[in-house]
Amino acid sequence: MTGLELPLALFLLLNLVVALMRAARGPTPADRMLTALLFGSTGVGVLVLLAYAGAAPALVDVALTLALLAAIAGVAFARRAWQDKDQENMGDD
Amino acid sequence: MQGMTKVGDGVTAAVLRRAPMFALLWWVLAEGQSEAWGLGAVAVATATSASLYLQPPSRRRFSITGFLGFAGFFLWNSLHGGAQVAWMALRPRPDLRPEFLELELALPVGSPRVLMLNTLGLMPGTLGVRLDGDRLKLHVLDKRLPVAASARALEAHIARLFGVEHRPPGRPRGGAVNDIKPQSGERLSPPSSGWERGEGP
Amino acid sequence: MTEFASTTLLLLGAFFYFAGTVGLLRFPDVYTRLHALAKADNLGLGCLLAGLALQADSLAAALKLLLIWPIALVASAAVSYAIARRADALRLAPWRGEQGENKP
Repeated sequence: MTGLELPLALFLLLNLVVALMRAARGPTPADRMLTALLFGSTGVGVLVLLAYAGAAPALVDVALTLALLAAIAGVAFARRAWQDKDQENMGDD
Repeated sequence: MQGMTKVGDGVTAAVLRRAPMFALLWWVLAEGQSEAWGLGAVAVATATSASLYLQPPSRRRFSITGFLGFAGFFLWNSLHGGAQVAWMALRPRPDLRPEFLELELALPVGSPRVLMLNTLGLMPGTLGVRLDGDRLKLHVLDKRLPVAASARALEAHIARLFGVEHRPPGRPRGGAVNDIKPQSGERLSPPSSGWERGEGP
Repeated sequence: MTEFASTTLLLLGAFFYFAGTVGLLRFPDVYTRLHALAKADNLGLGCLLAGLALQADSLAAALKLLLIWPIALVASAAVSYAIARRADALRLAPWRGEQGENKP
């Protein structure tokens, strides 16, 4: 612990809030989907910092699980994008 | 599936390769606690059998050197890409030259392509937008950057990782920079009808 | 020494997150914003994890932190491709400079 973790976690949280507000404002639906990206990276960062700031090592497992869920959701998301309704033959699995 | 003896040998080899990997993974997840190994044994056995079911052993093998080469290349380029985009975001006057480019993929269909498409988004200045047969539509942050050369370098690393052939189209080997062509509506016909129309519904 | 390296990496990580957010606020369209988030935030997370791994009690705990990185990379690579693909399916033209504004 260097004493830096808590301030940095708060800083990232502020970043996350600002970015979420920006992304939620759009203007396009694709912009709003950026929020999904933000949770996967900033959310995980905040969790690991908190784990090492407050000696709550279980938060590392929470961060790992969040990253894993984000990955699974992301892949499912991308695979749906693959077979988009304009029916292109992607030639991939 | 196929003849029993052949498959059986492949399965044994695959178990011997995969089980230690899962055991290592368990050791990391349990943070080295030895009392967790009872549960760990069950987890390793389950993971190994699930992996055999989901990804049956095949002749295609990852090469370790290919993996290290790819990892090093990837690490360096994500550093480069992150620093580059940070500079672009923070400099007083943003100077972006975004453009759609199209790249003819030289990798076989399947996992190599999926990996290519996904890693491109983390490389400096490129983002995979759409894969249409062999043609990959890319979005680049700055068309003045040598994106085609780095995309080909990435392709070569992925080809080595999977042990597949890498043939950039048009020319026999390497050096393919001109086969990436700009897709800026006015100069070239768009890849699919009407994608240049501005904001949709 | 380890403490110094750890602090440096943590600050560097926070810097890249900050740059990613600034990019999100300043860049002109969804494609360029995707570049900013996908690259800068992931590098930020990587630096953060490396910095914390230096402080970990055991090798296994350090590796566990580092394991998060590739998983998060898979997540953002897949999500950013999905978003770009979606934006393309919505026929969003990329921003090409002031003269080429595509806003109606």
